[in-house]
Amino acid sequence: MATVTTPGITLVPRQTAPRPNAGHVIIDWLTTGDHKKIGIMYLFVGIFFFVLGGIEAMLIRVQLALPNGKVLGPEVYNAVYTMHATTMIFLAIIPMLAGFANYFVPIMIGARDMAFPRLNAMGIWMLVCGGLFINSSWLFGEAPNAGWFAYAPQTLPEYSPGRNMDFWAIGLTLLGISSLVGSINIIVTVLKMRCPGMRFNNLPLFVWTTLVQSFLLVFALPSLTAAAVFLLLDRHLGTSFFNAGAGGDPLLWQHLFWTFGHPEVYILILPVFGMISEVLPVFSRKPIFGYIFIAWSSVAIGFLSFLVWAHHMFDTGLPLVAEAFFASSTTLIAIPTAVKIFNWIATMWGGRIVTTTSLLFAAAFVMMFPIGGLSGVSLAVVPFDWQVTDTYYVVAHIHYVFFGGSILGIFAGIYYWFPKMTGRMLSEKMGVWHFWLVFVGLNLTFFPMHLLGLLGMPRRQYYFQADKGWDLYNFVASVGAFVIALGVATFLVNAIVSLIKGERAGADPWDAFTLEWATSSPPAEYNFARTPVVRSRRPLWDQKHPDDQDWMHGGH
Amino acid sequence: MHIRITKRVIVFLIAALVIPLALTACGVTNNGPWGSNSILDPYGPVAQTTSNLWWIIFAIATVIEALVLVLVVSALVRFKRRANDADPIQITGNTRLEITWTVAPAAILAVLLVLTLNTMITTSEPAGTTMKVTAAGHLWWWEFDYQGIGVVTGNELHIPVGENVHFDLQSDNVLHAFWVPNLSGKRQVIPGHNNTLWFRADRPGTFRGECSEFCGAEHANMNFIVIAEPRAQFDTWVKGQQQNATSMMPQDANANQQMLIQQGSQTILKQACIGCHIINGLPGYNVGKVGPNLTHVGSRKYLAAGTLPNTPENLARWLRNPQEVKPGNKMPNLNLSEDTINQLVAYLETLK
Repeated sequence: MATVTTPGITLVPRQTAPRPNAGHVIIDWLTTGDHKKIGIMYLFVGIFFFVLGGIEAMLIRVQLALPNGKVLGPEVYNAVYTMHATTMIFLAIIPMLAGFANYFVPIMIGARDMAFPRLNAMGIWMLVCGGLFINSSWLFGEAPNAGWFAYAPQTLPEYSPGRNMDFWAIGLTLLGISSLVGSINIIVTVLKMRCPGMRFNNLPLFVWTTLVQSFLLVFALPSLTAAAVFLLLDRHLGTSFFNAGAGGDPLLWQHLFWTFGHPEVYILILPVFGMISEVLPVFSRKPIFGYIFIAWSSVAIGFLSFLVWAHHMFDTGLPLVAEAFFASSTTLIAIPTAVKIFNWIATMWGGRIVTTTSLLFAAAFVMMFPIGGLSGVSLAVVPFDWQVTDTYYVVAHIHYVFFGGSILGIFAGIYYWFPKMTGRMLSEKMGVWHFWLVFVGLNLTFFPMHLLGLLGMPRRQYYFQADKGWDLYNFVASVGAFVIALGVATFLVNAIVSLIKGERAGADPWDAFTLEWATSSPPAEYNFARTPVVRSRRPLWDQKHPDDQDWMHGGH
Repeated sequence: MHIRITKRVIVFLIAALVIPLALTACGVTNNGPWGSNSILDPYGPVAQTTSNLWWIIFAIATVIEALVLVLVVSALVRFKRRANDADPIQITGNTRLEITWTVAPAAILAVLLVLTLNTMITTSEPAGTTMKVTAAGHLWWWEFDYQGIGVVTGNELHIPVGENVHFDLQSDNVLHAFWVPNLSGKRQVIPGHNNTLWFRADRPGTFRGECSEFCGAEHANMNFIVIAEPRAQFDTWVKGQQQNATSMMPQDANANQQMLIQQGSQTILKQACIGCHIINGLPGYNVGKVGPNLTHVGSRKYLAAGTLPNTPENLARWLRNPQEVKPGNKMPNLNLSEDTINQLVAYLETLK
């Protein structure tokens, strides 16, 4: 017993250096290679663009609140919906996940920093440049306007003569570079910098899923970058990759884009699976149920996600055999996803659930994400997909996945880790308001969209006529959007107020299990005074229960 | 894993099942003047099979989601931690349970997959379809060319009830998608590809079709209607469409109207319409391909691809400034005088 080495729990006292002046602080943040500062910057950028994308969403819902909407003209509407999706996917969700990954992956594996700190800095600044670049298009009145998947030939110069799609193609390439270097950094860090005892079988699940996500990014992004470069060549150097009139094929774009685009969906959700797998056990006071399955099913999802792209293209007239193949692979990928839901429920079952805001968001994730998953399964039913693809049914589906999934999970993560990152607790009182507003709002907004799709409402139409029977559900969806906006505003207020005068968190406010809680809040620049040594998946549990350590009963 | 069936759980279960069911059931029987556009209001075999499939998916999905909701909510209620509660038993998994909930979804999904593949085969196009129509997506309207019988319409498709109709989908511009929810699923219209689609209406009716692939500024105003009518009625319609443009003087037309129509039939020969529209039988009106064929424009129910009901007032509004009605469309404001507009409207509305 006495020989058991416990993690480096020596709490590092806050440094008492002289207070630096503002100039120093700014220079420090601009030049830092510290994974925690970079992580916070990623999160800040992500939240900033989440708000911007949210404003774009509100414009859409205002336009569609009533029939014959006149708030936006067709050209502006097309730019707004394109930028809403582009912003939310590439500038909000991916950066927020990158922020958590940067901040917590090194600490959770007991490392002092990422493998390549300067590459890490390059990643965040590429992101900032790419985000500003794409959005600067608004200043020229030439925001991208051909949808976030930018189907050719709509994007070719004949139909998009402005610079709109150039902003999109170049901007996405910049963001791709940012994600690529970030992912390589994560992969190397996880493979090479784990502390003693941190075997793969002991890796926190957030690290597992982030690792898989990073591999997905590395293998999926080249397809997008190639597509973007082909598009730029078509637009400016007279090639004809996508121009049917000159021997090209517009369908090639769809293949290239979705070869990236479907792994992308899992890129946006896998780390969230990991967050949920961190939050639920801590607040249920139990280990995760079925660790091995969750870890390896994430790997399985990673592989399969490269084999399902054409389910976005069932209506393009692919051969029946090809459609049958993609229907099968899509059905297959639903299995590892479905099982996770039951693992999470089993984690809560029999626990002693502490209903914090973080737990509420995580539980809501477990309830809402399956709606997106189930509608996803329905979209693998090819004849049904022929009916509802490119309608609001698909809009409902992606929003249950990205909002009911990714965003709810990210909020769970924020309430969970905010104390670690800032040293202060978020207000639980405002948190509960935030939760209920977002939870009710999301269902009001996105559930009726299923019905609109079944009622034949195509997506991406800048207005709808009153005689089509779509008035009520659109109105409800718009009301819901305002409820969500109120919820997000509550969150922003909560974050700012708590940052200034929130309750002090201490090192381990949740009585948690993993290494990030074994150091001060916020951690010192070097994370741990001594490199921790772990023997199981829950090093802090082991330390707090010396007589009942996980590894003692053959567990991990 | 034992679930205690409390009253609360039962109420929740019922709510979880009934609310979405009720919503969906009301949701899909909405009727507008167009008729219902719901995919669950099928008028032909393809849409019918798909609709049946949906109800199976929906039932399965509702049960699974209800199960998840009940389990999560009852876990939150039952296992809520009370003050001084000790930590629970530290269970890390249960292989048998995990296998069960891997196999069960796999089995359900396998059944769905079989249904899917089966439906794909049963709804594929039967051999021997004789009625063929080329549906061409333009910016932003539909052209329907009935192969072999010399009928070309814009944004209005007539089909005989009970007969299979085959479509060749063509575009020489961007992507579109051809979709009539009441009759079948959609198919993208892709330049350089010869996509096809078929459907059949088993009952008469008027259905709406929409472009459902984003195609630029006026994607929202690229609708068409499909009129399924008995064979005899269809044949009469075809005969009419095969004629050259004939001005059908309304029987109740007063002298003023008659004069306007008369003037319109002359005015149109001098207008720029000739550059973009075909009107069979009018001298020079045989080259325009940018806009719809207007030979029988007066017989159509809608103007500008489903944007406006076809009334004299709406036609006048359109001619006064097409860009006000459908911003960005290919028809410029021709700055016609009110007199010209009145004459053209009077004339065009007689082209039945």
